[in-house]
Amino acid sequence: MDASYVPRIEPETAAPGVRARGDAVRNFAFQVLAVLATVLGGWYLAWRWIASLNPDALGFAVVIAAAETLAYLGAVLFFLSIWRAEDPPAQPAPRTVNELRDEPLPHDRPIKVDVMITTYDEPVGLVRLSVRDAKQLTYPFPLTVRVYVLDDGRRPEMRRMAGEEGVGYLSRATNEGYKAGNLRNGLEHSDGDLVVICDADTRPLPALLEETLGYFRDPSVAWVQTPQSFYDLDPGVRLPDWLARRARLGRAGRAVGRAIEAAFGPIAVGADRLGSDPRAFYHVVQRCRNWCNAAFCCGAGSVHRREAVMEGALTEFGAAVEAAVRPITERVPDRARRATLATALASQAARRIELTPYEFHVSEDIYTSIRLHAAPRPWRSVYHPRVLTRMLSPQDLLAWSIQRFKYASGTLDIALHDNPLRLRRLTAWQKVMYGATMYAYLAPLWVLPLMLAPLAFFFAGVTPVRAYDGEFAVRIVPFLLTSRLAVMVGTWGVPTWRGEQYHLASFWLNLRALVHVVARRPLRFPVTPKIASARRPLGLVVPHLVLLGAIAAGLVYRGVLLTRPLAAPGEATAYAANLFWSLHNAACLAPFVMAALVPRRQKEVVA
Amino acid sequence: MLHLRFAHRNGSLVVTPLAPRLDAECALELRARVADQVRGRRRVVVSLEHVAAMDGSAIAALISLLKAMDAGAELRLVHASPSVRALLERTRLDELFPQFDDLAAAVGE
Repeated sequence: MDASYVPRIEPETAAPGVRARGDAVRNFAFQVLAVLATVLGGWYLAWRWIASLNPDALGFAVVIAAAETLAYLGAVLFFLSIWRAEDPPAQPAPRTVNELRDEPLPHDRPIKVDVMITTYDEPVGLVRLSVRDAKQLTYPFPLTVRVYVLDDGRRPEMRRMAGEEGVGYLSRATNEGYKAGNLRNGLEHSDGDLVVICDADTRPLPALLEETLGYFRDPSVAWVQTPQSFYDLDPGVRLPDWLARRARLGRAGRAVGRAIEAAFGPIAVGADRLGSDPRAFYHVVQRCRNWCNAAFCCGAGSVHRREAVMEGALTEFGAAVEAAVRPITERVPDRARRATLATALASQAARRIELTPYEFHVSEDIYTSIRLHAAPRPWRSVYHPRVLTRMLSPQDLLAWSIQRFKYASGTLDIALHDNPLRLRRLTAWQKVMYGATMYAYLAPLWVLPLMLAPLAFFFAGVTPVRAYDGEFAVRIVPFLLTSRLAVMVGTWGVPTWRGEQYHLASFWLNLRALVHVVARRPLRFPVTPKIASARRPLGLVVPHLVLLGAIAAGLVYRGVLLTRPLAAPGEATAYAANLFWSLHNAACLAPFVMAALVPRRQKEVVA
Repeated sequence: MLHLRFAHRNGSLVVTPLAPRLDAECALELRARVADQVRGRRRVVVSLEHVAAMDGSAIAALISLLKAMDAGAELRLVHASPSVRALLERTRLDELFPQFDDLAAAVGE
């Protein structure tokens, strides 16, 4: 067994508790704050557009005001997307298959579950860990569980491993459709009522089926997604320790650290340097999509009803065939001849159209979710709030960037070429949820102008507002404070700062994804590397380094000018406002740059 | 083990599954055992007189059979049960698989 994949950091054994008690109060407080922030933001923006555009630099002022407006819309969409947190009521584990079915089978039997572990180029030792954990799944009743390794790499050693572990091995002649195609091949060669999807590094906890199968008692439940959790995240060093040892401040440092932690809660220095911690996404965003049936599948750690997957695929196949046939048959007036022609044309068209249980797309998971949510048969999805699988986090900035570029380009591609907002069967709230997801990837459109604005002031003395005076402060500070508070309360107990830093620092990656998709360049499906590379991916952070350098130079340059006796009135407050904003931006960019410069600590090899 | 009866009538291949259900459990077998027989055929009729229910995996197997047949070939269904008809309508595949009430009409007699 490949020992280097034994995690250096012990996996969390206890699943994080579900926030239940006091949650309704928290939720209500969040809603009040969110409404207040929305109103205050509208009040600020109205003033920005009507009364405060700088007439001396009107073009610049309009661009920045537009960017602020887009950012505000993003904040409002985010508030809506986490409007209500609700967990599905737990259901007892079903005993037999008929408890899951709409129409019972004449001969009832135990439920059959297929665990599909998809792999392409991951090491055998890593996949073996996933296979072994999948074999340990428990259930209170007899259950037929079959584990399959779906190997798109067609490797003899992977086949051998599957044989040694006594699990199924499936491969195919081509790599058509990548992961989605691999899964289709798996579905074609298996017959479980339910299908668990795992990536090569997804390690299920024993209770995965026990806790999730109950939801399928509702015959309209198509899939259950569980939160993903990384078992190898660096927990960092707690602040008192860090101050005492790393900063060499001794006891005094420890005391200061304890005092700070007493006020702000636990602080870990250097934790999760790559911002991979998925808790904010799962425990807040996905959890808040439950109540309106908009939780989407994330490609791993999910359980699917085979019939829903197949019927969704057939519906789309049928629609594609119909779309190919309809324009021609519509022109035939005679009904009988039209039917004959339709069948002939449909049979021709069917040859060219792929039947895809999972969309052949770089974001096959969210695309397939949208399809089922918008299907003629109203399928339901469930987000289960407890961690039941663990996996490896992206190992370095390069792997992280490949993964995020896939997410961004995939989501933007769906938004621009097959927008779910046009699907008439989605409810208004489902559209809000999917809309918020897609809108978030447009962030560079406003992040970039807003990050560049302070530089215009530092080097050219231009400001987008008439004056950074008392009225500006009165308008903007209440909005910033309440929206900050709203986010704090809305995401209570879940760390979000790292994610916010990376959201801003991703502007370059997201911009590239946007250009890529708008230019209709082909979307590639690179597999996210599971091993850290030795090189430092400096190319990824060039824009960030340039920005950081420009901020530093600008602060000094304008600072020197300010010390002259002839500085214009109000320039000091303008400097202060831009200083604050620039420091915020620098604080967001810095960890991204650090992640590229300082390679991740190697995993300890356990013999 | 899926029992299938093959017959030839008026130039068509008639496949009759002798099973009350066609579902994921027998879809692979259906596909594998019928695919060789339908290759190069212009018209195949699947008689569903014994079949009360089909699921999505079985319909997917029919699609792959159709793809294995000649260009311009037809795969016809006879005696489809109400639940099978409902599934085909819901997935808008009723034009792709024309349905007949009796075998004679399906084979064009």
